[in-house]
Amino acid sequence: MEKGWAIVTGASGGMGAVFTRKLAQRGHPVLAVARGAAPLAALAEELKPARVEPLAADLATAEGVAAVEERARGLQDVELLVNNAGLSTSGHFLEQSAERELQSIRVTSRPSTRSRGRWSPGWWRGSAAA
Amino acid sequence: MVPGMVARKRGGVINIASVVAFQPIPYWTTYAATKAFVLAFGEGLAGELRHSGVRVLTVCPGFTRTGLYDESGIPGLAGKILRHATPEEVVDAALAAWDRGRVVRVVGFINRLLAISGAITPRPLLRWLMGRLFAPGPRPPGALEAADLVGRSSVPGWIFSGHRRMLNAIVQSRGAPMKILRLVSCALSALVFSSNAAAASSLTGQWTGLLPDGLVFTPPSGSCSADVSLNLTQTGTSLSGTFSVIAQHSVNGCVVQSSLSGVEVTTGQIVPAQVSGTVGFRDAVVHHHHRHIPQWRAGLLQRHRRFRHLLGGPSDGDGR
Repeated sequence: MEKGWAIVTGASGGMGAVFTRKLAQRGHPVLAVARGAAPLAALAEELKPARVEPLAADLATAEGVAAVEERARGLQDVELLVNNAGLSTSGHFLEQSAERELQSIRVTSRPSTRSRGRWSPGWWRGSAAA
Repeated sequence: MVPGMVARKRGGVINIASVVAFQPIPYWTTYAATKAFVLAFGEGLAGELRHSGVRVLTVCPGFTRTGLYDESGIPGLAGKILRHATPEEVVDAALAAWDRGRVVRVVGFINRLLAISGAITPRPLLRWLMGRLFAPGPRPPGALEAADLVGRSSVPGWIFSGHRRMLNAIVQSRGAPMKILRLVSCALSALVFSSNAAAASSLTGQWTGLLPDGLVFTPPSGSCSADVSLNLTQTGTSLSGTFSVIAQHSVNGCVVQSSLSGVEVTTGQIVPAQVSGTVGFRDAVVHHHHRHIPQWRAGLLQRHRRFRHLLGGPSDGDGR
């Protein structure tokens, strides 16, 4: 059976880039999502002739998540979703900027929930709003 | 995406959580909380989808050499003493677990131990231990190294507080299997702790620059005071003396008002380039602990010189 699409978030570096590489080697077409367009383009170029489509989106923003959803809807068969994007803050909680903390919560927790809830039956739509 | 997978009866999701999902991590609070969310969410969903042909795998790596910590850093000693895996190792383990249909994969032997220890260690002990391991490290030059003080203070703290809590937790737990489990977890924690203490005791704060107005460090809990011995070398002149400090708890940790007894030194008198010094924190006393030392034990402590500082010497501040 032909392999379906794999979507990897946080694909521009670290584990995301390795996931993209290995999944492409396994024969999956990969939709590589990250904030920066340039590293994604370089990665797609490097992995040719494997099919790697870059998508620049910031998953901390609603627009970024919507862009990934929109793109994923256009794909025929999504077989694997790798929620790898993450953001880390450290130090005294009270010294951190609130915006940055919220950003880390949004990047790490929300896409994994949202990506499922969007087209799901009503019984778990509640979690999609989280 | 998942409903489409369910309709096709194939595919799935790999979520990247972390070994920090298994325990609360002070100073890495939000990060650990988001990872705990990812783990709980992934496992819950895997349970719901177990007969649907769609799989959900949650991968929990330990520290990994990626760009994640470039900006934030890993707070405290934990990042220094635990091995960092390469991204390739983690991804290989993840894909192998995916092929085998696993639901949760903790990558690395030590990380598995940590995950198990996180599950069975009594929560108060776990919070305390993680607070020690992840207490923020060096502040920018000019401020003193926070981790040093905490490290120096950790031995008495551990003996009189952590140890007692561990024993209490064991005594209070019901049933022999739970007692044994907790005993094992305490032994594990002690192992991790002792490497922490060993690493810490070899450190001394070192800085070049202004004598700071206040030293900042982070006590594990409550208020604290510190007795600090300091040698200052100024070009041409050597200043040395016992440094007495008063510590005050604040949201930023412990702000220590410093003054040098015998020789008056203020910030303005020392030009940054002229001073380099080493500060060894001899004993840092956590008042939170010693307030609870009962009278009879105080008597015992008085007779053991090694622990006398726990009661607060003449050079200690009032520690409020």
